[in-house]
Amino acid sequence: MLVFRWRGAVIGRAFVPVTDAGLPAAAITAAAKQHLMPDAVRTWIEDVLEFDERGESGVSAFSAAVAICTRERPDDLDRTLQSVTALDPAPREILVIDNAPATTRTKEVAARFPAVQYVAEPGRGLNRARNRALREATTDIVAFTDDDAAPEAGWLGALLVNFQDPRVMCVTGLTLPHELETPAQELFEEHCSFVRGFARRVFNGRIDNPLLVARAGAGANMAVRASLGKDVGLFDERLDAGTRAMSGGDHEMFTRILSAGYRLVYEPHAVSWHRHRRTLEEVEQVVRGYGTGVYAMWTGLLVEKHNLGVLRLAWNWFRWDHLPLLRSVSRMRELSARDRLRKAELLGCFAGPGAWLSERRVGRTPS
Amino acid sequence: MTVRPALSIVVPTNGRPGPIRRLLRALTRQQHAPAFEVTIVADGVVPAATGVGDPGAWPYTVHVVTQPHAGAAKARNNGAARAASDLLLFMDDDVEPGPGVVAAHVAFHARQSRRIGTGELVPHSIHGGTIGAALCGWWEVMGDALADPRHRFTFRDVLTGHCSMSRRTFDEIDGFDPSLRCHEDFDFGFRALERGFDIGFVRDAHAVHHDDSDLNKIVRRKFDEGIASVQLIAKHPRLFRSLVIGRPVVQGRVAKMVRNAAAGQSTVSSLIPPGLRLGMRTFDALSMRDKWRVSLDMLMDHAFWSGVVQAAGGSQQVRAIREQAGPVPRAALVVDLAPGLERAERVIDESRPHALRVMFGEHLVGELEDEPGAERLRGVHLRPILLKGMAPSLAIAALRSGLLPEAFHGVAGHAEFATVRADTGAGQAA
Repeated sequence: MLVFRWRGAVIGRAFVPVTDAGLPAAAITAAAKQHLMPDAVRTWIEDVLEFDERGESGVSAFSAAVAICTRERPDDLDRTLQSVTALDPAPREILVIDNAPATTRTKEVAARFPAVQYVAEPGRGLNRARNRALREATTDIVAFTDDDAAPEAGWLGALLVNFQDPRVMCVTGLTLPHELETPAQELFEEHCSFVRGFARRVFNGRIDNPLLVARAGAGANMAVRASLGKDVGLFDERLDAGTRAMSGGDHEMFTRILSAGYRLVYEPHAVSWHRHRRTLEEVEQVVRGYGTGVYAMWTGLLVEKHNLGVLRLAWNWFRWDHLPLLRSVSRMRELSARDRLRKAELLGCFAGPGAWLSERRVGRTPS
Repeated sequence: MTVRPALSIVVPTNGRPGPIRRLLRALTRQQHAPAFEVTIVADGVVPAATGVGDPGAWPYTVHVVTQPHAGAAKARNNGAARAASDLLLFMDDDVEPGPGVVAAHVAFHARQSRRIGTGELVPHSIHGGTIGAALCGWWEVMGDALADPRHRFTFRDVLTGHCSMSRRTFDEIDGFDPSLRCHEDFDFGFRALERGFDIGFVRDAHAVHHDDSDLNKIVRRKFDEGIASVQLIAKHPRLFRSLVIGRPVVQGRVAKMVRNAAAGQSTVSSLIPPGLRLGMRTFDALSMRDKWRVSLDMLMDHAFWSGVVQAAGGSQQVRAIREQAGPVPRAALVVDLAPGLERAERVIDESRPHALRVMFGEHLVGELEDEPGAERLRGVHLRPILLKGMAPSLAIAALRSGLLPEAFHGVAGHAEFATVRADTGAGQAA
């Protein structure tokens, strides 16, 4: 994968075959000419015109904490902490939220970084860990990164500058693959990429449909106001990793943020590199979790908010993505790798409503 | 000894005691404010219905003036006539000023007197729901534009709910026109710009607009806007192309049918609003925000054109209005970007043109037509015009001039740029 930048800003990418000899400059230029979209030229024009819709670029008066919610992945965490401790501007606080720890390995890794504050959260679940981070932080903004991601040095500053607008409650960033070493990682990047384009986009809760948040980014790379819990409510602890729902906690929050009339910004200048799972089995598990999480989230919206709009979304998803898969299966065609992912996703979707209902039954608290 | 107030605040009201008390209470919390007075103009209601109570009980001077019901424009004129200060601040009764409003408006006019200051109105919908969110969204989009220091102000930007000006400015513009059904702010803004006054955004004047509009009220308002548009065109023919009546907002076959039905005022026409309202309820329940929005726009369109037809006296007359020739455009200033952006901006600042023809050396980048009712161009407008209105052609001009980095050359083949190549073919040939 080639990533194209203009004065540091990522403006596009291309997938090209690479040999051990690497790529000659002419091939890179040719790839750029072929793959760069008009948004890339717009970035060039903005630069030439010294025009930045964010206002005074790079100026932020906000204090920030970076929270890393993790569970038993010390090697990944070490890499993430190396990146987070190199951020410029540096966060005022760095929180490692050790979610339902089974060993002391996470604590030991955190101890190697003097600036890091280690917090053990005994309750299992990513959204519990996120909520713990919001309670522990004493800053204006809390930025979240996954424990298998490595934010670039300018990541935090790029997120923060967007909070100058008081209506912005959440900012997500551009997440690129840290490595594409295995076919499974390539498959994941091709079909489940975190990339949501290379142009900044503002989602306005007053105008945009709060249910259409898939294009808004992901919780692996996001920052929220510390007042989130007071203004919108905390993350729903019945959702996301560590629960039967397996995911969906970030998008449920995005929907709630927009429904409350706030804004959410997708900021591609905030770049983080995410290490995708390496085997097809792992990737299938992740994708299955996405299907479960989305349907669990929608079940919650349907049952508790009586939001019928999720039925339309479910139908559209089924019609355009899953129905063709079922047709393939019915014709006994051998499933391609992509179809295997879609199958995992579909099975996850089927499991979603039950997952949400069982989480509710065991009495996990909503936000 | 009575201190002459530095600011006179004029608030028309037709009997909403709760909002008036909220506004007056907010004015007791002003910070760093010089002496000011408030004139409540009771439009068709008795003073007791205004909610002021005992005027002497407030920590600043409060006057209550009454008039037979004649509308907000007349009420503002009456209030201005009785103001003791040389500086006027108009506010609607559903506005809640923040603590810095008085000081911000006074400071704004201390720097330059020949301008109108529009303050911020942070929207708050009392009824909420999807319609409330849409309404707030509309206000926010407008507020964001006004707050942008590169915004080109137009006749729409004098928000009579929260704006200030010197008494002299108010008198030179001849006050508000009470004969208009609504849009007296548009009329005032147009006359202000035509007479050489500037409009500016008063950055620290924050106020909350507690909007009690529901769908019925919005539809009625749109109907009134249709009537007012006909009145405005009769008064200012130059505004024709700048108003919705000259440039329909909603396009498409169904939207056109709705508009024609409104013009025809047939039985079908009377069935359209309830049908659209039913559709809106359904789409709202299904969270189909885009379809809901389209239905709302068509409902608004129907109300607007019904108002237009009523004011014009029939659909034939509407057709005659719509087929009238637009105003003769004023000449464009030719600016060349090749010697540098700063130089181009200086040239624009020196000429303050109504229209622009932007070149990059021998290559045409684009043309900005004369827009009646918009302020004369300033240099600060150039960059947003280039970015938002001429980006593809600017890229093509840069490509032909050898300034576009090679990596970007591929986008010239993109569909977005295809029409640009044709438009600027003359430049390429040259």
